[in-house]
Amino acid sequence: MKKFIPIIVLILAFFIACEEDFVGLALLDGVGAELEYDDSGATRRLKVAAVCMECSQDADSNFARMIGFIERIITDHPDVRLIVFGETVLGWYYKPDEPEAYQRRIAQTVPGPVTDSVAVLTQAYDIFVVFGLSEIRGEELYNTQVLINPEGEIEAQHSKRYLISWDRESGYTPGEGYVVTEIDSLKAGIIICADLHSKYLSESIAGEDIDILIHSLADMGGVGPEIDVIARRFDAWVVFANRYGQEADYFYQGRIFISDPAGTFRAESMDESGYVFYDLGVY
Amino acid sequence: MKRIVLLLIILSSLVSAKDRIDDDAGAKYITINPVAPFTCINDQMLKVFLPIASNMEYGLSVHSSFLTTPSQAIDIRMVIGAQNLMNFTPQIHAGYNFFILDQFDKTNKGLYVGGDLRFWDSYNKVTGIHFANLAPSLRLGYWFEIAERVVVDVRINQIFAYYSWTSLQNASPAFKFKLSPIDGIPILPFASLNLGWKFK
Repeated sequence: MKKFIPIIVLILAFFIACEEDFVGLALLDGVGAELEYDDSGATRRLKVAAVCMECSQDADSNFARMIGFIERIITDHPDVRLIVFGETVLGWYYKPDEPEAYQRRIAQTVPGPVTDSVAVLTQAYDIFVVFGLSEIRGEELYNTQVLINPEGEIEAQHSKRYLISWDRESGYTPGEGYVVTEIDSLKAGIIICADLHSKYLSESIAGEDIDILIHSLADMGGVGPEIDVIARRFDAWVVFANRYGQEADYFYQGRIFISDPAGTFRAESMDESGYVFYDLGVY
Repeated sequence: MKRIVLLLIILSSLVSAKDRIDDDAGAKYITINPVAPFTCINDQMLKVFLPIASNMEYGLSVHSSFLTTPSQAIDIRMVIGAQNLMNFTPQIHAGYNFFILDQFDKTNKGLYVGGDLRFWDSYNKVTGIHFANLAPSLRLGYWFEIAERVVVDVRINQIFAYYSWTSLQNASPAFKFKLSPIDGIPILPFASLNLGWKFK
């Protein structure tokens, strides 16, 4: 019997799942040849920009940069319909010497002055804008992504559910539920950064048969698989918006992209503040 | 010159191997990959880095080898498991090993070279989409036999190409030569440890 103990241990390890609400990114997810996804015959299209913004500690100057990006993208692509900004772009993502005090200082209400100002722009330019901010709701602080539609209304808002240690140090409360909304008749899901590790969010949103996943984050990483594993997980286009630059001791490399449902990158950029644009097609 | 001699030894032994008489011919082996089950543990670091040491096998990995001649073996590997809780990813590998040192010392298998063709299908249980792959690889390994029954097999596998396809509509199959799935890492071999039993 003793000699079977190691085998029993191995079999048990196979069936063990340590965290209930967790779906890991695995090496195998990104292994293979990049597939060609043909959206040329798609019946619905959406022109999308994903922004990588360099953020300072000051919320006002970051908001001014946001406006600058919106105007620049409109100038370059007057027919753009959706502009996606990264996670908590009104400030640093994490300020190690005073994480919670800092986030509370720059936090905004939703709706509030910032969303009202963005609403003026979405109406003026007839666009959707998604951006992240520290949201104060009562006494609670949330890491929130807000979608404002061309009518200037808050179409949807999602608060980060899967908090990492920096989020917890910053005092954020985890969000509840999930968001799937419509952007020009396309079904869009919204997740924030490590939300992709939430089994609940992944299964709920992927189960809604979405067309686009808006994935805004503050991610320092530069290398990754040559295939977008998130697009494959959700069977959807992914618009991946991020940040760039030095914040305290941490450097954000500014990787952004737009990938198709087969996980093939259609537009990508890194190592600079900027944006990528793509006219994506959905059947 | 050394390379030519080595090549000649390998080629001549390949030709002559089938005519040799040795007790090992026809031996069968059942082995498992003891690292592979641990890749199913729901931890981010384990899921990304441990598969490099598990030959990218997630779950229960069982192999059967058969010595067609004393110095040549074919092996089949079957893997049942998944890289995460949303997928189911069975794998099957068919490979060939040539034991180089067996040409000089028939008492032990030792160093071998070989290759295999692996198939895996990553099935997303929520979306119902399959992403399937065929990938050839080359391998270098060392095969220990302890007390004529216990087998310890350590190997390094290098995939060099992928043929991939999917059940996703409007997506075409693709073929690509590449040595690493990670952008910025030019070459990424996968190691594996296999433990098992010899049957004769």
